[in-house]
Amino acid sequence: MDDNTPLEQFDPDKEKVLLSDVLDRVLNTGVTISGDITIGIADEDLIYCSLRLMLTSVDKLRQENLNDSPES
Amino acid sequence: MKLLLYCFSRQGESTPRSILGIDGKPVKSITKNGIQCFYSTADRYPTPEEIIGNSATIDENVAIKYHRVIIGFHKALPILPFRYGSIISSEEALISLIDQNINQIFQALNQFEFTSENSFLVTAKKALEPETPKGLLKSDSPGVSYLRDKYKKLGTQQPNDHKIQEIKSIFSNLLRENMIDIKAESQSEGIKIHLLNRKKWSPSALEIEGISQRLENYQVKYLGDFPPYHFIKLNLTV
Repeated sequence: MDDNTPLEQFDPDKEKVLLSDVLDRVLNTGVTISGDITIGIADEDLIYCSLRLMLTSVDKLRQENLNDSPES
Repeated sequence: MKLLLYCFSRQGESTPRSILGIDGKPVKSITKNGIQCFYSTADRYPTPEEIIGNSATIDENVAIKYHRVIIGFHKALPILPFRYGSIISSEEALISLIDQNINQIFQALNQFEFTSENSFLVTAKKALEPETPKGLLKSDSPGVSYLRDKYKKLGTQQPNDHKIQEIKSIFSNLLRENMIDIKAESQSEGIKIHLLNRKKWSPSALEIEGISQRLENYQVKYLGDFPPYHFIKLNLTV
């Protein structure tokens, strides 16, 4: 299937994939980039924070937060 | 000009001609110190810095298209795929990213160059409802309702840790010849099994049937052949 195939013709069974699996894979796995940035407002540096340069699914974020909590 | 990153490969690999980037943009590459990174321009997408403080939404359709681009690369050459949403501000920033992480990238390329990931979804077969005396078939009595609910729950019950280990070992035993590593993850739709295999291998219908027969109360669906997504642990710093 090339990139120009309309999405409504996307057939997960034919492509041997499940839509949820595709989304889970591209949103939660793969090479990531992290960095530190300074957020400034009106030329004043306000917040210095570590930033993960990625988007992730809400479920994955919740799961990571749970794993990071002191109780776990 | 913002860049949407797709994957790393070794220097010298050419972009497969059939691959177009997101929004139909041409796929370009940058080479630095023997590492090649494929990308397309992505000005309409916010960088993570721009997302801070705003609510970001993920467009499923774009994510699926991104997946297709990655699979196109995977079929043509050994790659390390980026997570969807890896956007960087400029070519200079990308060169600097490669420079700063060159050892890690090479290490991952060496480790995964001749591998691919084969994934399966293992789901519990639905439990059959017990035969009910004819007079009670349409009964809504509390007892019959209770039993129906109980059987419905049984049909959707998730396997426990012990069962997951058992499923993993069945896969390992039957497919060990080409398998390098195996991972299992429990998800709402079932158990996903990811095998790290020698490249260009995928299970035959006979092998999948053999696994299905061993997993009596479960059914197995082959999800496909992917880059080694679940085995790459590469977090680059800028």
